[in-house]
Amino acid sequence: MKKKFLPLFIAMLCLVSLCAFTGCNRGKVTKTEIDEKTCYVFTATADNTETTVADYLKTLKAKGELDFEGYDSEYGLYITSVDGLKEEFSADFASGHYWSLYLDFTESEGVIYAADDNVCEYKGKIYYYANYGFSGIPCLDGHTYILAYVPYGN
Amino acid sequence: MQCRKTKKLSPAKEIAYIAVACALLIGAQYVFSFISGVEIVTLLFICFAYKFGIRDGVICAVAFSLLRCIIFGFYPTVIVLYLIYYPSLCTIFGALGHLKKSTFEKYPWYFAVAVNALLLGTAVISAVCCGCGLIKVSQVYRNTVYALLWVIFSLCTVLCIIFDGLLTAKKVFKKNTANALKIITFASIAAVCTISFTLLDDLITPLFFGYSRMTALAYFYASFTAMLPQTVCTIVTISTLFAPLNSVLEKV
Repeated sequence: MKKKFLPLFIAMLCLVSLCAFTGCNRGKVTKTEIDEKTCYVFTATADNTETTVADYLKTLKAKGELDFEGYDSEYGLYITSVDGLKEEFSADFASGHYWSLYLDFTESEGVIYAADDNVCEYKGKIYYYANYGFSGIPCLDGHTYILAYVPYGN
Repeated sequence: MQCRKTKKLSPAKEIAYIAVACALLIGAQYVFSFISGVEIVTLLFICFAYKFGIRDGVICAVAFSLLRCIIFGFYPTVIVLYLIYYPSLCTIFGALGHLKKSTFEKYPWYFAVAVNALLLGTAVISAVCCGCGLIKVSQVYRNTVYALLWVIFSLCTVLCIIFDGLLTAKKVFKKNTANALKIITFASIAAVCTISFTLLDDLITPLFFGYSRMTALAYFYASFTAMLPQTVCTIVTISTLFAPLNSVLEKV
């Protein structure tokens, strides 16, 4: 009886472990909802040699940890969809959604990268709306970034 | 007493000229709106106001500021900014258009001091901002901003040297350099006006939207990415195109 239960137990243990490592948490990127908005949270790690958030996002895409579409404009990377969730563009900016960036810091080396009058809270920490696009924000070691699907006028 | 002004236009002609100028301005702004930092609206306004005077310049500026919204959209801060700035620009250059022709031929010392102050002041401020790294912008814009600051420094320095050389040629060697002195004078004033335009926007937009101090400061630094190319464009266009455009308008 015990011999029958042992393989079953091991199989269940493997299944539980598999569920624990799949789902919303894909390695470095965590998909979540903040204030009813779809968000992807990631933390820059020490082994990143990239200099900007755009570079880091492209690396995540290359590793299969984040799936997004976008193009390089004169202001740098512009993200049009993440995991199939596309931006809804309206010419008058009165409606629709777009992909924005929130940072856990407001300035670095004297440069103001984020505004303190547009914030969100996640796990007890305040995140600030980025002043620049993905190519203009540095990827600082240990800092957390949120890719958020927000409405225009947010 | 000889005045530079041309003969008085009939009301119908005035309206027609203002309408054509307005259409040209909107077309010119639309065409160059796809090229970042390049604009000839300032040049056209200056030429029009210099030729036709303050009143026609201001009317054209107000009409342009409101009509351009049909193409570019209705943004309150932009409308307010344009309604303050362009009529002011036309007032300045319309007033300069009232100066006697002999003013630039004699070129008073206070004009020379003012132009030197404007050019050298702009050059020094550009050099200091660049050398001391005072413009805190994102790294994606940093190289462009600093390169443009050096370009402005170079342009203003060169213009100052040329201006003083022409002034010396006029005063000492009695050469007729009135037109060249006028162009450099207008280019320096226009450059300062262009810088003032962005600084005015840095005041209006944060106030209108209620930005926090940090956001307003970030907006101020980011505005240099627009201000610097516009200033370079203004200096170059006024220096090179004011004389030919003015000669065309003289025939009107």
